[in-house]
Amino acid sequence: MFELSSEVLSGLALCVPVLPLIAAVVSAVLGSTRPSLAPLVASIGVLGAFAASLLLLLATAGHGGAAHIFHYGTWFTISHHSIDWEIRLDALATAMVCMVTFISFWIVIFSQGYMDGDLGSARFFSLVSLFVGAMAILVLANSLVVMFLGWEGVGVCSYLLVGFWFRKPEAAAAARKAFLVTRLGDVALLGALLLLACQPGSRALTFDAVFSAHLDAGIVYFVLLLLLIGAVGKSAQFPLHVWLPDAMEGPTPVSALIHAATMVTAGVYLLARFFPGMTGESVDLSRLDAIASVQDLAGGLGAITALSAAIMAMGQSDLKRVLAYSTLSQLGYMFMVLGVSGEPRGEHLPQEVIGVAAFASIFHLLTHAFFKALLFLSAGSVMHAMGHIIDMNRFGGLRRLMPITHASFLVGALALAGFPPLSGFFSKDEILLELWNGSLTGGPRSAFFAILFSVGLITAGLTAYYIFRAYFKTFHGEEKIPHEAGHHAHESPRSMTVPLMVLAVCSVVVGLAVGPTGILHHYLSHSSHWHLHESAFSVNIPMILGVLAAFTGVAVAWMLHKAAASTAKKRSMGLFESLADNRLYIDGLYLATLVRPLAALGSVVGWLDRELISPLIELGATVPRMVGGRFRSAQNGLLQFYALAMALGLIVILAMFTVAR
Amino acid sequence: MNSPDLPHYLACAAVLFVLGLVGFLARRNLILMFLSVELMVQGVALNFVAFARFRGNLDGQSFVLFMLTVAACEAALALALILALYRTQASLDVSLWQNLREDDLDATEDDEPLPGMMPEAPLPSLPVAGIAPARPEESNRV
Amino acid sequence: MPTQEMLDVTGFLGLSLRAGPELGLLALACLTFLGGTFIRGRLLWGLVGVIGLGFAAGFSAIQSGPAFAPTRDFFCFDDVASCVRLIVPILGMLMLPILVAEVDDVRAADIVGCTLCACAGVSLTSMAGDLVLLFLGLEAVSIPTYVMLYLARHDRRGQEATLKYFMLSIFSSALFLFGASYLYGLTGQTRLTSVSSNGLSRGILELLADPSSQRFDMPRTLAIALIFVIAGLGMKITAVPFHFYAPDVYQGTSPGMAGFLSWFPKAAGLIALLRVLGLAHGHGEPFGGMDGTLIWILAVVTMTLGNCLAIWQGNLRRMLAYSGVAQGGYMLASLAVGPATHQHAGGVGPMLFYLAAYGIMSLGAFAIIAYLNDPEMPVEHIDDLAGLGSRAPIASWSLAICLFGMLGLPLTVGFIAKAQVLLATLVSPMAAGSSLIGILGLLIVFNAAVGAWYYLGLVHRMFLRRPLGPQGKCGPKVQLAAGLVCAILTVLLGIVPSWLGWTQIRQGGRVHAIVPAVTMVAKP
Repeated sequence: MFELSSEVLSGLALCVPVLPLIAAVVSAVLGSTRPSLAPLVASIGVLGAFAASLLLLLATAGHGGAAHIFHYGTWFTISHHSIDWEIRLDALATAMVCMVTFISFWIVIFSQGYMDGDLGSARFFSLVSLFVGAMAILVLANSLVVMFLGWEGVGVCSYLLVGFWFRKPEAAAAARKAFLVTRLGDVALLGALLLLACQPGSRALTFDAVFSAHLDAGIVYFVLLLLLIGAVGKSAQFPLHVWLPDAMEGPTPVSALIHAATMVTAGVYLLARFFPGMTGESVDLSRLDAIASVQDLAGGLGAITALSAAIMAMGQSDLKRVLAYSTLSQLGYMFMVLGVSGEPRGEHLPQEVIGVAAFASIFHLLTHAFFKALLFLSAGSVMHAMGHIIDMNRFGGLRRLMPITHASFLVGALALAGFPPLSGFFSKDEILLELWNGSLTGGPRSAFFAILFSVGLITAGLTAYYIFRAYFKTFHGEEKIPHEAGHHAHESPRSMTVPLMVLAVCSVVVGLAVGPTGILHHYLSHSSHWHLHESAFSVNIPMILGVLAAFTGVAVAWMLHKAAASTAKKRSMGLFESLADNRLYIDGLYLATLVRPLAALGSVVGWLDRELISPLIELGATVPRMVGGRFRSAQNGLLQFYALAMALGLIVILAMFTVAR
Repeated sequence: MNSPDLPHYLACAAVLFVLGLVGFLARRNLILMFLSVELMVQGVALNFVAFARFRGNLDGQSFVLFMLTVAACEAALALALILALYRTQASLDVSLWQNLREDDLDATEDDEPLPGMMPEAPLPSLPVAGIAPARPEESNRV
Repeated sequence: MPTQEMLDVTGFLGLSLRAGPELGLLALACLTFLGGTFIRGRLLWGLVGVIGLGFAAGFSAIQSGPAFAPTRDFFCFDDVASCVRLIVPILGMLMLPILVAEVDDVRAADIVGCTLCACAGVSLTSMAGDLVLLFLGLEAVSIPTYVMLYLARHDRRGQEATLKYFMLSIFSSALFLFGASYLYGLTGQTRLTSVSSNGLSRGILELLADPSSQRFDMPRTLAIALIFVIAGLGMKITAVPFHFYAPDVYQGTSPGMAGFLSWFPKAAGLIALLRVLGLAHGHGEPFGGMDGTLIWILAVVTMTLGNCLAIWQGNLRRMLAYSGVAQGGYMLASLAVGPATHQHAGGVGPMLFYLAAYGIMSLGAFAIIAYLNDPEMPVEHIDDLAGLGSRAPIASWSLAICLFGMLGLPLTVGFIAKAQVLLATLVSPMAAGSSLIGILGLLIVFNAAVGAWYYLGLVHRMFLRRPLGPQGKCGPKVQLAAGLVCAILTVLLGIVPSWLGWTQIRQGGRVHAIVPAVTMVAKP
């Protein structure tokens, strides 16, 4: 759009992570004396970051090509490695950081109303700003080590914010679980970095250096596998998904920000960078093979998560948990499409295929951030009005009481279900299209992609069903208000409804604006390593199938809702009388197709959590404890025993090095 | 071989060193433990002197001089410390000092306690030959 | 021939000027001991000590510069020395206020004198080119420590701590001397270095090709000598079979004194090990032909057991003692990498960096504990810290930052230190002629994870728990200030580690271990 000199760009890029960090420090310092200033400081900091990233977006939109790399100084040097404070500004990072700061800003505004009167609100706003800063570092870092810094930073912020109400035991336990499970992934990520650091070609440990290094196919495989484990932990994919539903113990704005829009998508972001990037410039078949085998794993795990989480979401009565499982399921979608590997397809190079798949996942990531944040904030608004009651059985028929919340939740639900022309429609279509194309190649993996495609289609139907089930239960039917609501039972204050409206508008517009017009596609094609080609928007088979699935889901949800309502009220439903009569049939179907598999799946997941993940974490804790316990008795306080132990140690060492050789 | 050679000196020094080591581990009297360490140091000194003669330079001799100086320093500190400890416990038994240990371990009891203190030999009593000097009670008791 | 050297008065004066900071500190210590009998006052002697150390630091900063020529002098002014001689007075300046605030006016002068003497001892150890100087430097650290242990706390527990430290310390110094005597016997000299034909420094262990040594069963005798030396120094480093005293002594003594023990003797031991093993000279065969297996084993056992035992501890200082044992293990791991070769920068630079970083973090932690310690209501158990976050926010944040540093979280100096050690082990896997080094890196990662358990447990108690009982008063503000400075340094050096100096690229087969960046500023 317009040109900015390199110095200005560099300064603006620096503002993005630094302003929220400054805001975090200032609001923490101010918090003890003037807690009322904390939200103001935080919103100014985040707004500043958003303004800077918007300027960057506009300034770099015009000219594409190579990424800008801004150097601010050297962090540290270890033998041949130099870890620099550098920002790598390419199209993908700019788009991500714009989304993150924009949503964060509106969530901070929303929180001012939501957290009003909470004792620790200064702590809350400080941590949220810190989170935004860390997320910006994660997205913008040029060096992998600095990216890891951001990766850990968002994890710590998530831990502290999930456990924000730490006096509540469930919240403290959930925070601990979230931290420990994602920690498993973090260790894998660290392993990947160390593995890369050992490779002679990639010693600079920046994205470009790693991508252009000459690595063995085996090394590529292990690095990507470790990165995948890291991403699976952060993005809560099967089997490390157990922490995300529990993390809903945190304040709702946190769920919206961290556990829906930004942090959990970091895994997708990482893989979307690495899968296309690692292909290298030339076609190296063994390397592509290594990438493809990791991609298979990503796709498979994504499919399992997408389907199982959608099924789990259908049975929940807790509104926030429905949304949490829905997030899992949507992240599963993104992983699924990342699994589309680069078998040469027609005239396209493998790199291009992987790039297009990565584009699809990032597109869905961006739109999902808007409508899922919207849904969470609407749920938060409901919670706020209902006196922190979130059980959908306790309230209902709120559409007259809270018209704005109702409208925004409806928009979010429609977008999530994938109704045209809302944003979810375009991005979901892109994913389904990629999976469909993959299944049509006739290559060895086409059957796998066909399965992924059908999973995607089924999940699309289930998604529409569960979100509209939640919508009908909450906003339709007879008006029911729990007694805890008290005088809160009215539409939320302006500071909460304005963010809802803004995000609702975005959920409608963003997909339409950037999808079919090709703007995002064109913009992201500047992102290096993606090899995107211009493609025109057209109606296609997967799109029609997806929309049909969505309509079916909504229809079923509506019928079941009406049926349930009619039984409850024991009166005829007019036009749907016949359907209501068939209640038993539907119930039976429901029982057979959904409840039983759901229960089975629930027990499988519970078993995994109990038998695999918890013991894994426990093992990490018990082994050192056991080892320590063995040696404690030596520490008996007797001076001469210590001297004896020293002498014996000396004798053993002497024997080892003199007698044995 | 008639005259003692380097290995003889080294063997003698090693014996001294090991005797000191065993004494340090086995003796429970604080003063004897300290003297055992001194014995070890003397063994080392013998090593140095023997090596110095064998090598034909004075480096080892000068090292011994420094060692002895440091040992004297340590002896002064040791005696001061042991005196202070004796004031607290009224005993020189090292195993009385085992209160600092892992918090759920029991104190180590002796199977075989130290023999009791020898009864003090009666001091010879002198006939009164003047007025005994007045001295403050308990002031210069050890 | 030697007489000429001795009578060379100008040479002697020049040497005295070179070793000025140390000699000055020792003289000031004598002055303080004497003056303390006439004039009492914590403020006065504390200031005298801090100013003296400040001068020493400034003097060292001006002196040090690019590496001096290879030497076989009694004093060895190389990069290792110039780095340590700058770190030690600075840490001493942070240490002094903590210690002085713990004692009364009568003992203040003595404890200041002892601290100055110990600082001089660590410095002397770092520039020892001769076994005699090495031994004297070590004893100049040990002997004041005995006195300080008794001065800082002399109730029953303090006495027990002093007794244990004293007895085991003289015992281990006898072991060291035994090894040293054999080293002398094998090489025929007490010098630790020599100048080889190609003009490079050589370590003592490389002199063994001397035909007169053929009388011995060389490898075996050398192994005995080195093992005794390592065992003797192991007590100061708190390497595992020699670490037993540490938890008891830390628990029995005062918090400030525990902070002293956590760094100064450990630094002296590690630097002495560096000198004896010839790693500081960084050329030729590392470990004099022995592979680094012994150091490797010690490092692994030390860090693992230290961490595993720390998990169990309820007493705060005991836990930090075990944590110190584990940190010693990381530094030994760095030594196991060996000196620089043409391929990589070796483990010496990382070890010195780690040592400095650990000193800052550890002193900070103990300063805060000393600050929180109320004689009426001592902070002994880790649960005594519960709810500290709301009661004393500055103290608890400083402590938390220091703990994060020891844990190695990013953006603290501890992270850089650990990353350096880790990469030194991973990038140079064949350094010590042993593929075990790569495994060492993995073990460090696992150990760091175990360390998170208890460090984060402390942070958790401070911020996410309510206090269990009535809370004591806080101590003198000067301890808080020292802790705060350490915490700020921990973060600042984590972001800009080059201020602490950096491993320079080795030139001509010689390690330029650390040339402090401060020096560069001092010498335009």
